[in-house]
Amino acid sequence: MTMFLQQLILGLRGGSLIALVALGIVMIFKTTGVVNFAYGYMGMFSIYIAYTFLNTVGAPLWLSVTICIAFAFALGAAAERGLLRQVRHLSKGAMLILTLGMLMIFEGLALQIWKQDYRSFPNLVSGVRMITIDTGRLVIRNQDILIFIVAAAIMAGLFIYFKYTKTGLAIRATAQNENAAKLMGIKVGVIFALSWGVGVSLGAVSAVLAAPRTFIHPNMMLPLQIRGLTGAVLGGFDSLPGAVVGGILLGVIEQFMGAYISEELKMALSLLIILVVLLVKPSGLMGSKAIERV
Amino acid sequence: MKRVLVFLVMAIIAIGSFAFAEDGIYEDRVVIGSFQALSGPVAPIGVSMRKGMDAYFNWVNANGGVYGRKIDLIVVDDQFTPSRTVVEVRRLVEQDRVFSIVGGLGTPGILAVMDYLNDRGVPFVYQGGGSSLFAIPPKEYVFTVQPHYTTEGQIAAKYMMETLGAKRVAIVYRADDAGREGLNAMSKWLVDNGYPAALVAKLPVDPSKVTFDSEILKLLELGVDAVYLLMWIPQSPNFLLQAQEYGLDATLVGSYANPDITLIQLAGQAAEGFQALAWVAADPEDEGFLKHIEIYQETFPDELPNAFAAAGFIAAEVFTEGLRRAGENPTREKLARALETMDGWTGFITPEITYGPFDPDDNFCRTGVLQMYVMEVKNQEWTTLHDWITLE
Repeated sequence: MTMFLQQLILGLRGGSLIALVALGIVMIFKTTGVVNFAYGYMGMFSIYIAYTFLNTVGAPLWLSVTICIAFAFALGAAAERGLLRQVRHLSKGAMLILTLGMLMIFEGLALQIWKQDYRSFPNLVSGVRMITIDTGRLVIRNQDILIFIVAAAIMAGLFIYFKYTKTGLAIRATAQNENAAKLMGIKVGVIFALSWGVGVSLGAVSAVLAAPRTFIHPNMMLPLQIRGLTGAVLGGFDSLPGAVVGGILLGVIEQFMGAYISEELKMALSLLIILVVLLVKPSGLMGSKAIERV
Repeated sequence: MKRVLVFLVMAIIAIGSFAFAEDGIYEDRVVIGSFQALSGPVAPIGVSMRKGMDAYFNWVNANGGVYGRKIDLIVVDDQFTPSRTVVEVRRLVEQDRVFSIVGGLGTPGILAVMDYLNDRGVPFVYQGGGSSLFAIPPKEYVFTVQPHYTTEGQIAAKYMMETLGAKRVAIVYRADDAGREGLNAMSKWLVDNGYPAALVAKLPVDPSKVTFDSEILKLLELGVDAVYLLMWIPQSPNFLLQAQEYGLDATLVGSYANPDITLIQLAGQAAEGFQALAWVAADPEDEGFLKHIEIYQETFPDELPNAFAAAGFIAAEVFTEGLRRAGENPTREKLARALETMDGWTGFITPEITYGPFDPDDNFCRTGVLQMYVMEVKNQEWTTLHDWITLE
């Protein structure tokens, strides 16, 4: 029982990070209709900014992290306005290719500026907590508790934002029908830039939370990005709650696979389970069915 | 008719002399090749290893080369991907016509090209990887230098049981061929030497894994005395940081790629007391060691070579010594025979190396280093903790 609970905690921790990444990817996809393959790399690039402020400028940790997230927002919005909007009229495919190009640019830039060395990044909070239960003792790191809190706060915040604010409503309207939204007087361009900004900031937040474990290097976000995409697919690619559920579920499944079945096969087995889910329900757990007029 | 005949004879002589000239050997230079990960996730290792080779060859060339020939090194970037290694190495051999391959990095890539090079008689000196498959069974033109994980796994077990006096030990290993080889060697040594129950946990970890909570909690629960950590940077400093967070106080003994300043930079205080096996003769007071730093700094001023640069340096040292022994008119065949004459040879930082005449049944005729010592992080520096350990 203790072992089960302990693994569940670890799975939820991993899942929360995946969910954050999935949430950012889905948010951008839902509003602008493009899967951002540069997502993780933009988060990676942003955390190098935090690293530079922390270690070269000597700014305190909280300030470095704040600057990093603000930078990510600007980076996301600028990428949308300056690059993606230019090819928007061509096709979704063109935008997709563009994000692949951005991936290479950010990786190359990071290599040029900061070289390929691994760099360490501190936990935002340190220490572990012991919780004694009937059957034994559970150990939880404070950083993991922080990850839960941050992930939950962001998810709740986004939910409230989309449901109860005007901009949130505008984003939902744009996602549903771009042309109709335009006719209703919604500034669609601003909404696109905003979604990219918020989406990429989420990438930066996940990078900040993951960095103490992954270290900072140009490819640090790649495994998390792959899992984020997988989680998003599992949840249904066009649903924000789906991204959260899919991400958390993937984290938990992976943890249990590793603990109870095989550490070596856990990734393969987790993906197999997802494959089965998608075979049964192709639109994902919470995704909407694609309906097209014939 | 006579003219045609003369032309034909001359043509045959020209083609003949061209065909008989050894690939990569020219009047003024010897062209050799190497494959390294110069980009991608493993680039920090590949770039460093290349720097070590460059530094040594620059020094040799600045001092007149070998019998007046400069050593010209072509390094290709295979990104640690075996499919690329195959293409790039074939290009080195068939288009660039290199004399020898020196210091290739990465077990998967090495395994992918090893037989090709051996079949064509291209000497392959120094493999940046620890698989015993390079040396066992021996291959006539493949000369290993680094100890392999079968050697290391046994030495680690011997050290933990006999020197540390551990009762309950564990191994945390990369779930790949290298890791499994170390695991098998360790298990076998423990069984053969009367400690069949000492190994209480065998924990495989994915080579890309960054969270070790489950493994550390398991070790805490089992109460182990010592853990053999068969992984390297960046996983090992990460493991140390997490072990410190959870308060794991077992002695951690790392694999030989760990004694490097990068580990201390990444793990900080969590690295204190971490021990690791080592095979590069790196005594800071030794003349050869100081000379190696001097040589390195001639090419890279103010930089200190890390462990991977040292590996590249050793690859270059061993090859150059072989080339010197091969004489004024070297051929691939002569190089292979010359390397076989090495008997306890040591370089500036290369520890004792012995090869022997090629014998398919002699598992030691192509095995390089067979002994290792132990280093420890003390006050944020690597220090020597225990002298050379040899297997009986």
